[in-house]
Amino acid sequence: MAKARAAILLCAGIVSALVAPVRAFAQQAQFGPIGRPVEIGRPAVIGTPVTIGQPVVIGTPVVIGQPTTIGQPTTVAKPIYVARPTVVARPTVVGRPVVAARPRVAGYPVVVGRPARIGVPVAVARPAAVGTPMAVGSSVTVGRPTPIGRGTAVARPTQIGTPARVGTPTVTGRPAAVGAPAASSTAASTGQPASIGQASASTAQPSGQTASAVAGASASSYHISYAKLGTSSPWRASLQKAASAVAAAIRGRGQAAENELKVLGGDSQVVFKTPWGRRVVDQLADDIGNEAKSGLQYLTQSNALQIAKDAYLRDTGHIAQSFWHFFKNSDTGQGGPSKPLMKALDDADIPYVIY
Amino acid sequence: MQKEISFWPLIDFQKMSKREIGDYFAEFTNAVPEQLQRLHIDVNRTPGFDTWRADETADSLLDLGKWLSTHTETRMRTPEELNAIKSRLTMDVPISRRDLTDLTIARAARVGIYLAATLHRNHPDTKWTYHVTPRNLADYGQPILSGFPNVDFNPVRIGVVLARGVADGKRGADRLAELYAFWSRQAPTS
Repeated sequence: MAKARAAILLCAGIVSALVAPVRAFAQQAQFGPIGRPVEIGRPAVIGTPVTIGQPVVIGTPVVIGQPTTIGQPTTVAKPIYVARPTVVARPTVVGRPVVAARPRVAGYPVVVGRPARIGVPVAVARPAAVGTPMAVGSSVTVGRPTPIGRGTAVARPTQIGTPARVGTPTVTGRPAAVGAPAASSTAASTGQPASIGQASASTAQPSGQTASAVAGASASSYHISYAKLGTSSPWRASLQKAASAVAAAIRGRGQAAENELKVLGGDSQVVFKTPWGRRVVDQLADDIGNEAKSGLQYLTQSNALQIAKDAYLRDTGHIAQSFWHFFKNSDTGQGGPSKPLMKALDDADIPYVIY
Repeated sequence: MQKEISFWPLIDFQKMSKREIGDYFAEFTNAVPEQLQRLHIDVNRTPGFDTWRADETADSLLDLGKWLSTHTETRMRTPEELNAIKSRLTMDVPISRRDLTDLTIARAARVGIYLAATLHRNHPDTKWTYHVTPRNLADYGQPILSGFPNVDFNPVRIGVVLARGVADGKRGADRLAELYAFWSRQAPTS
């Protein structure tokens, strides 16, 4: 009898021991947290509600559901789309996967939805689109150029890089700015397709862009946007010269994209290091990093990242300026940037030309 | 007095062997104090800048930027240089007939080195090094200040690009201080 009771107790113990982790796992799966150390693969969708523990490295690309609380210290890889409402706890570093143990205070592209609350201290690298309305905590460093939406409460001390635009009605900071390739910022919420600028005939201005921000170039062969550089900028002559040379090459040979940029001289496929990985500049001529794009181009994560890298190389002084060239696809006859992409380039002060 | 050192873009690092690159690096790093001293003397010779001190502070960059903005000179490119550029073009397009003088390139390089020294002084975790891979790296073989997250500070390139921008009227006197602020924010904090 005693042996039988002991056997029953043993079996119960074994069952209990087996069930406990399963139950814990089930609870964890339903409510979190995600333990440590955990590496979440790619692509991954983290459900709701979830608490992500510490320390955690989140892979790329990742969509974090809502509502989500990210613990501390957490390193969030790029590119990441942080849904709304999302609370990024402190101190949180949103950035690249950490190679060494040392956390990095940099990251791109990050889109913080609305309403969102960013804790302190958080460093959001540029160009981050920050939603509206939202509260940005103290000791927050927001890189440049960063559009800050309307209704944003910015606590002190907060360092916002210039030229940050605070309260500008044209900046919506919607999540669609990154990670929704074929969607404009307004179409994102409705799932409508984006409107795309039409190659050489395009005179369409990005939404929210001031009239003075765009200046037409010569004739009908190309159209240059000087972004915020202004038409009186000393850059005008250099950029027009480059665009004119490339346009002449297109007329002369009918080739497209990268090969055309070789007419500018300098070096092809030059590699620069950036905090977000290497940037291969299609043609580096006269200190201007020329980027060639063929066909219809959207604000994809890849293009957004390239914009960030180009702005970084310019701001750090490694190149004097970045200049994007949009060519028609020789097969489809279509080409040019989408409005969100044009806006992203304008926001980053990167001029571009559409052939 | 050490032997005169040349700087990019007057040197083509792509054509140098790895040994030559290593030798240049040693020569360059040994020459840093002398280059800073020459910059100091050069600046102090200019009326209005005689009290400038190369104390490697952020404030010193403000006046140094002003000095550089008035000391960038260009010259006409020689026919040989123009032909060399044209030979690399895929079609005949207008090219700039002017370039920085060798003296301005040396000044710009020294300003870049001073900027690097200022960053190094205030962020001791940074250190001089060079890369020989990949071959198409913009900074291939060139002395750089490393220690920044995933990026390197190429003092000569940054100085020369700044000088060209100033010469073209695309950059102002405050650009040097801006560059320091930008890089300083990214430097590792020890």
